[in-house]
Amino acid sequence: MWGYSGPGCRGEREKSGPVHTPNDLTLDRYLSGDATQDEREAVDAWLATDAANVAFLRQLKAAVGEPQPSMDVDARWQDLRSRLATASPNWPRRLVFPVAAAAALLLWVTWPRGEVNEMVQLAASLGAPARATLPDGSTILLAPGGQASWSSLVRAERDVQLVGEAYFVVKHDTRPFRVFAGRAVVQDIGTRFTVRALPGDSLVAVAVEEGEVAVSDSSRHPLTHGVRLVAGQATTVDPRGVVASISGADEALAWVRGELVWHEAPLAEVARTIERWYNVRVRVDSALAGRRVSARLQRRPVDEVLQSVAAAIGVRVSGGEGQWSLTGESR
Amino acid sequence: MPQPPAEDLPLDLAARIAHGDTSAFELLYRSMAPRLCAYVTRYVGDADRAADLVQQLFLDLWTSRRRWDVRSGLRAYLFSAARNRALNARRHARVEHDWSERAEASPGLEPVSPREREDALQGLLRREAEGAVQRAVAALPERCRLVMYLRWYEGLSYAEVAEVMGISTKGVENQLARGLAAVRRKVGDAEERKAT
Repeated sequence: MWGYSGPGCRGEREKSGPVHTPNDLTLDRYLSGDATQDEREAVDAWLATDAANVAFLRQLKAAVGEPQPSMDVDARWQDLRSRLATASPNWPRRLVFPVAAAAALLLWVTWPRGEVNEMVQLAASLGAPARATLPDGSTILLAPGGQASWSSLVRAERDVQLVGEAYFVVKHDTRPFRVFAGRAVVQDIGTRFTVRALPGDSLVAVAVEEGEVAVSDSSRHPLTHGVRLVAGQATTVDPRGVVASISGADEALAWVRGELVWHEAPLAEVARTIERWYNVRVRVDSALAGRRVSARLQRRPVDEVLQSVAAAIGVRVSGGEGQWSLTGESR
Repeated sequence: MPQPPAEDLPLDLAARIAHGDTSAFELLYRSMAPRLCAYVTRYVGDADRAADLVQQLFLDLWTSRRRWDVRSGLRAYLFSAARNRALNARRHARVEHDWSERAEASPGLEPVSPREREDALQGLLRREAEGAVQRAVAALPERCRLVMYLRWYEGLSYAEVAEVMGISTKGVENQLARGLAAVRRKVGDAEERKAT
């Protein structure tokens, strides 16, 4: 049984019954989300009478939605911004401050507050997190390998662009504080939180330590359409902008406390994390890459961390001087 | 099943951009460029080409930001501007692209000839019912599909769709009602043929 049963279609196939096929404009309003409550209930009742009705409506909307091209918004925005900078004299120039690679654990960076609206860029080298204070007094702690940028103006919108992983402590203010990362936008509601958007990862992860944030697809408004996270909660946003269900924040916040925490993480991912935090190379036997690791470790010297991970899953660690290997036990 | 309509942009966004607020412009770009790109792709058929057109549109928008004429809202304004550019681009490329044959300019729903109808039904019979809706939608005039798209994927109101497509509000309702009726009829016919 396919398609329609009921009036509004063809006379000879009309059926009598309490549930009527909604008329065309009612279906339209249902699909576009501006139906009245009565209309919604009528359509829901009709959908409930036959799974074919559900399939019809789903396929109808899907057919109208094809094709859905994807667009690399970050790359396109960078392109547009550079074209605007050349075409328009008042477009802010981009300043790049290379952050010195250092053994120093934390690097404080402050920026001059001029009249000109400039984009400030902060980059954290491998092996060294970087910290900066934003014009409004909020602070950002950027995990190794990350990049973030924002406007230098004190009165500007508090928007931060992020690639990588960062921890934010936000100063209370009437203006929204937003972090744009991949397909996600995270809006703070007075809080401490982390955002992770690693270049190789499809998911953007958000975790809240204190206060509350709202997370949504970057094309929507997080306060009205977002998922709210409170202290101790975390979520992810996938490349299509879909926000996942809420989970615990402990693992995602561990790095801020100087810990390395993995829960059922593939060994290859563990190796990548260690590489970023210690600026070393960690080669993993391809046969072991999928091995799962659960561990909670203090951020001790790299050889100790590697030994602990290796011991936990029964593999061997060898190397030194920034080049390490994890291999299976010799047979 | 229905997704929420696309969120309205912050009300003061156009004013902020007119004052030269670059982060407001970035917000507008990030929220609207992918959606305009999807929309323009429906006219020009190629996502990269659509993205280039949208890029140029935003470049010009920034340059002329003090002269924007935003009447029924920023969204309708942007979709309308995107549509104009898409139609222009297609006019220039008409020879290359055969999808313009079923151009949006075709006046509403045209009656289907008995032979076409027979062909279509034979085709429908051969295939699974799964594709019947898809084919029925594909057979709609382009303008009708675009109206449906703007309604169901962008959540534009009848008045906004009317502004974007350059037709009356009543015309929007007609497109939707006639289009939906045509899809129902085709799907119903396919079902009936299969049953006999």
